[in-house]
Formats: sequence, C-alpha cells, structure tokens
Amino acid sequence: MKVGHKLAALTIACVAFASSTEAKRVADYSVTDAELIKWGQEQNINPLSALPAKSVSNVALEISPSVDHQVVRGGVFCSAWKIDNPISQIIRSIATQWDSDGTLASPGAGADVTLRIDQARTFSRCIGTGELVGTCITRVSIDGSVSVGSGKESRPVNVEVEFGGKMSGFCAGMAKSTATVSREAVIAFIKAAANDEAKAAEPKAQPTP
Amino acid sequence: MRFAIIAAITLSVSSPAFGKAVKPVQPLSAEYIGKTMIVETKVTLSDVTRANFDKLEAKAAEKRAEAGLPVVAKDFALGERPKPDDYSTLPIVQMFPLMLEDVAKERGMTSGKAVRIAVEFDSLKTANAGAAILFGSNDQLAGLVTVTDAESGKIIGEYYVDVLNQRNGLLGLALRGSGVREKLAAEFSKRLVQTLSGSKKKIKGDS
Repeated sequence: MKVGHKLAALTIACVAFASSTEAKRVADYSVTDAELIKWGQEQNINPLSALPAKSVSNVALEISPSVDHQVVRGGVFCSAWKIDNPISQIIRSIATQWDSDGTLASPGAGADVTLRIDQARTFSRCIGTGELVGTCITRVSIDGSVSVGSGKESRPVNVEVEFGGKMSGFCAGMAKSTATVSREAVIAFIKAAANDEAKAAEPKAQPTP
Repeated sequence: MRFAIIAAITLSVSSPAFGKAVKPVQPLSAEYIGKTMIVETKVTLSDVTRANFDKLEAKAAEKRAEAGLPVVAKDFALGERPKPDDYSTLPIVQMFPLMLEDVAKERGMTSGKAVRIAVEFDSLKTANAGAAILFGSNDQLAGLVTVTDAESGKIIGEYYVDVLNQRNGLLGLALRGSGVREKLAAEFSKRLVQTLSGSKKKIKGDS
C-alpha cells in the first residue's frame, strides 16, 4: 500500500472515528436473501446458514413493538455511527418463508406453531488489529418463545449469534453486517422452533403395562 | 508529498489522548452502582487478536525469566499474591485480576454486594514505531466486561471498555515509555472501577 493510499485510508478512518456529526444508517432488509448472503461474504461472515426447510405447520407470529432497536455501539472506532435495526422485517420475512403455505396466521387463530418475539438486541464494536487493519464484531440476540400444538404451552427461546467481519467499507459496512448477522439469529430462532415442531410430531411412547 | 508532510505534522502535534470509552451494553441498575465489591475476576482472550496478545505475553515471560522468577502457565492459579512490581512478568489473564482488585481497593470498593467480573479482551494493540513517525499510530486495549451477582448468578451489567491512546511521532513514542501492556491494563481497570463505583473523580489523561 502506497503512503498516499494509507493517508487516504487514515483520513477516512479519522473522519469515521472523530466526526461530530452522527451518521445514521439502517440495516436494509428490502434486499433479496441472495444479496444478504453476498453482503456476508463481503464482510467475511462465512458461511451463512441456509433458510430452514419448509414447515408442515400453519405458523403464527407475534412481535413486540419494542423488537426494532438501535444497535448498541461499543468502543471508540465508528462511535459516531448510529444504526437502526428494524429486525422485525426479517423475522416476518423468514417466518413467512418457513410457514407451510407462505401465509402467516394471526395469533390465536388456529395456528399449529406460534412464534413470540419479545426482545432483540444488537451489539457491535470495531477494533484495530494492526496498522490500518481492523475488524467489526456484531452480536445479535433474540428473546422470545415458541408454542407448538393444541396445548400451546410456550417454551422460552433465546438465541445469540456473533460474527467478526473483515470491516469491508469500515464503518459503512456495519449496517450490512448488522443485517447479515440478524439473518443468522432469526434462522437460529426458527430452527429452534422447527426442532420443537419435529419433537411434537414424534409418536409418544406407550406406557408399559 | 506536501500533503503527507502537512498531515504528519498535524497528527504529530495533536493530543495523545485519542479516545477512551466505557459504553454500557446493559447498564448496572442504581441498586448496584457504588454498592458492590469484586470477589472474582476471570479473563479470556478473543481469537481475533490472539497474535498481538501472544507477542506481548512472550515479552512478559522474558521479563519473568530475567527476574529469576518461576515460569507461570496461563491456566495456572497463582499461589502467593505477587508484588505489584512483578505484575509485568505475568500473563494478562493473571495480571489483570490483580490490577483490578488493587484499583477497586484504592477506590473503596471493599464492601457491598459481591459481584463476579468476566472480561473478554478482544483487542490488544501497540503502536507501530514506523507508522507512528509517518502518520501516527495507537495503543489499544478493549474488551467486553460482564458483571454477575455472585449470590444469584444473574448477569446484572455489561460494559464495553476501550482504551485507545494515540502515539504520534518520536515524541509520542518517547512519552509513552515502556510497559505498554501494563499501562493499558491499569487504565482499563480504572475506567471500569470508575463505572462500577459511580465515581465522578477524573482519571489522569482525561480532558
């Protein structure tokens, strides 16, 4: 890397670090799943999970209004960047794709599986690992519950997913990594629900006489 | 070239205090602020910058050998409490808890609800001399701190502590001196204890 290039990179880093103007970004879920996977590859977040296999159930989804949140930023680098994570969008999208007929039921309207999302959080920090080299680490947590079958007894489900990327685009890449890591967390949540669904479908052991 | 010289001069005269931050991920509630004592500190090192840690741990081991002290394995519990002068010869997983306990005692955190501290360091970087002279460099120690109520086992707080000291030019490196890892760990401890104790007292280096 030439000195001029290093200076340019340093200037960008300094502006990103020291800017008094808060830069606002939003994790964009309007893109296709293939695009989200491509973003993950750009950020060195690999391998990304495949979407869960289609459910055999009619799925209902309840999302608390507080689920959409702002990313908590740790550390000094990129601290001026504020990122909103409207994670309910990707929760709704992946849950819809998982549903047997691709149409979510209203909660309590005869659904076989009910997903309840109470809270979600994103924590991200960028650190230097060498001269003008760094990484951003993003952690997404989702708290909620899953109920399967007629009894509708719900089981709490908490997932936490963390990835360190290669900081492509430096601070500007954080919104993309927030979106890709959120996708992973949502898939982990749905997979937990799929496990519960599979367990409920297993034939119950007959009591021995 | 002219731009490079101007940039280097500008950075060389800028403040050495580049940035320090304690960001709450999950802040302690008021019932804990200033009312806790640390009963245990555990340190883990993230794989992200493992090479940087290893380099400085090797230097500490060299110092220990030069001082004629017995070798300490990273996963080995210390018997007798080492003297503060010998902290610099210990691996960071053993050195940091001692430093934190010392700072907590100094700041009067000796009674109250018992808490356990878990620190996951994910950055330890020292300024590169060549880069410091050319366009500035920095020392950094950053990590995620989890505070757990020792009685209930419940996580009561989470903070991200980042100590980043800019080093510009030969003067910046000269002012820094030696024992960079220890200085960063001491400052990390002070900032953490300040947060846990709710102290408003300024820390040296703050503007």
